[in-house]
Amino acid sequence: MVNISQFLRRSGTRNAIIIILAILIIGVILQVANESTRTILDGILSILLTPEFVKAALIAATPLLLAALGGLISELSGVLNMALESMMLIGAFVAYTAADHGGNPWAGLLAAAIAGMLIGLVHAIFTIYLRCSQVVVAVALNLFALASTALSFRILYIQTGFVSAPGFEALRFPVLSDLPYFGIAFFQHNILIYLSLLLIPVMWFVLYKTSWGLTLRSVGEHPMAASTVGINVTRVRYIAVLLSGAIAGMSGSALVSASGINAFQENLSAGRGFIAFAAVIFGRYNPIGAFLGTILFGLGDALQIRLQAYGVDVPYQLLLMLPYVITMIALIFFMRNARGPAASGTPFNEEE
Amino acid sequence: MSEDTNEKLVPPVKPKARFNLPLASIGLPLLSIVIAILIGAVIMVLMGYDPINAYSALWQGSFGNLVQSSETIKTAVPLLLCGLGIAFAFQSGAFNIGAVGQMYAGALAAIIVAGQFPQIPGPLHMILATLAAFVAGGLWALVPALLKIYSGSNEIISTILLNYIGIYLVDYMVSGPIKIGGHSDAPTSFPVVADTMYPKLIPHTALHIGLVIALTAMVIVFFIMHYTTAGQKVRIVGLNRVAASHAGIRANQVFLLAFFFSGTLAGLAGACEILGYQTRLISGFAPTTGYDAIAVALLAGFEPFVVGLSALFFAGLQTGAVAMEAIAKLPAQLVDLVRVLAILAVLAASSPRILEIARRLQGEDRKW
Repeated sequence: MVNISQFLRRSGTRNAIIIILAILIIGVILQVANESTRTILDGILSILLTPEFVKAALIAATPLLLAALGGLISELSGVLNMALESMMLIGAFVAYTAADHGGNPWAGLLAAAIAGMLIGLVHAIFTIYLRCSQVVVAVALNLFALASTALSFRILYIQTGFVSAPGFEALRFPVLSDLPYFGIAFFQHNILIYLSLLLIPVMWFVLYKTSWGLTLRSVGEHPMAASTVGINVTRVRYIAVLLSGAIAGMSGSALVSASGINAFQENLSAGRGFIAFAAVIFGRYNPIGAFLGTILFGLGDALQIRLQAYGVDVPYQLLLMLPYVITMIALIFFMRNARGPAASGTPFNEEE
Repeated sequence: MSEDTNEKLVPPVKPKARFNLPLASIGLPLLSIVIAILIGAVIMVLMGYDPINAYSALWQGSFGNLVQSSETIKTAVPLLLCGLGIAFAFQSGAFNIGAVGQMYAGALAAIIVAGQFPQIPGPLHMILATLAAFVAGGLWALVPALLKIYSGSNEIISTILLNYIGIYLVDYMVSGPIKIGGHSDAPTSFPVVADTMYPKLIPHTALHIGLVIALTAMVIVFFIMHYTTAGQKVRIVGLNRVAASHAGIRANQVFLLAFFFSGTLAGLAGACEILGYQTRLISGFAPTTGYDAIAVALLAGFEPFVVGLSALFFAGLQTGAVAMEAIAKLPAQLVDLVRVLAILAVLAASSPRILEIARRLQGEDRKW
């Protein structure tokens, strides 16, 4: 016999509740449109079962996944990285520009990583050296990203207008890509998506099975203790934030690629950096959890696009709202027991 | 030793005690603005433009004559209102990034009340619409605050999510439920009833009574922050939540209050936009104001009167940018960059590290 509170506390149960709630919310939204809810829910079900939906969800989740993994490194070292949004947006612009001028998506990916790292450096100087509030600096950096990408985009592309940059081609695997359902859902993606997925186990290994990972986490948990045993807290944090910037910058490249047309537009990231930040927290500060968190948003995003394409008679504005509402619900349910690194958000001062 | 413990209690969040100079709270933003303008000039030169030409066009376009100045001040009103709310919330450690959503909620409430019920007498109708915006903004802000308290959700993320939800809600409303009748395809709400519009302060200019509301709010926020126990509680909670609880302050209550108050001001900003001059709600009616206001508050170091100046500076850049683009042929987005540089400069200059260095230098001066 399991009592109710224990039952509710099980993560499996919690996930089920969230999915049910999400569907309920969708139902409510659909109800607003004065449509027969049942036929629309049938529509949703048939969308959910298509392999294209899973494919779209994975594509939509990849930029968030990269950003979340970047945020995770920084967060575990004790530096809140709410500037993920700026790294993503600048990464996206730089990836697009470099791919366009270099004629190669790899050039874009590399440039995005470097650009993200530079933003990480500014973030690190402000939060680690100057010891400014990590939240406030991130807010400023996000405004900076919005302004600088809008300006540069205008200067560089005002004459040419809309152009599509070279992007990553979808891979085809022998046999696997031709599998029914799974072929389309999982084996026809571009290389960037597989690399991003590969990064999850890599990061898990580095963070939990290597001494550098232990060092990083100890700096985030108790910088004073880490410092006492001879760890250079400041250096570890600098490295963490720079790495975080590089990975989050690459998420911009994935974002450009996820646009489907390999193009950039003003404010392309549209708050996804913050959703990635949220995913880190409700993914309980580990790479696998972060992945699940971003998948949730990817599903919402894909569902929203599919529903529009399906021709459901619901105002598209409400559909666009869907991913944010889903994240909001996840936030409510997952935040309660999420415990981050103890020293997260506090600057370290050796002299104290 | 006692100094050390003091420093530990004060988290390096608040750029509060600046060099112990009375003028520092204004001097620092001014210095940062000068630095940003200089960096902006360098960028212009690098891009092959004449900075003097550009800045004079910017000045002409923002404060060149009465009409332009009134435009600038009109633009400053919502920035000031939102900025005050944000400054107040940030002071209590409530990171309210949701001014956009709160402002949209306020504008939506204002149009729903002001656009209907023509039988209500004019002045009363205007006040009711303003109150509706006030309450709607506050309630919209209460959502993330309650979520934080009851489910521990990070308020920064939830306010940002609510911004998007608010934006799409307005998009939906103006293209559906409150859309103007007829076959017009443009997603626009019905207009407000004529006599609910805010009266003009000076005829034939853009100045409306919203300015008086904003300035009153500025004085009230200043008064609350510095001369009331509520303001003191807000600041103590912002500085150290745990210590505040030990001192018998209900931190959660203060948090809720700060969020609600901050939201109401953003809601008022929404009312000023609609009832002040826009007359109807359109999709994306103020897409950046709520975010710009964060920058306004940051630049001002969360000091109410400095928020006023900072809002005026931001508004000047915004209105002047149009003229700069027309006359000096510079992209208007350049001014956004100048603003952000100003904020980064003010953050750096008021950071704990620099304050420490400054204090050390001052200490040495005294010894001499």
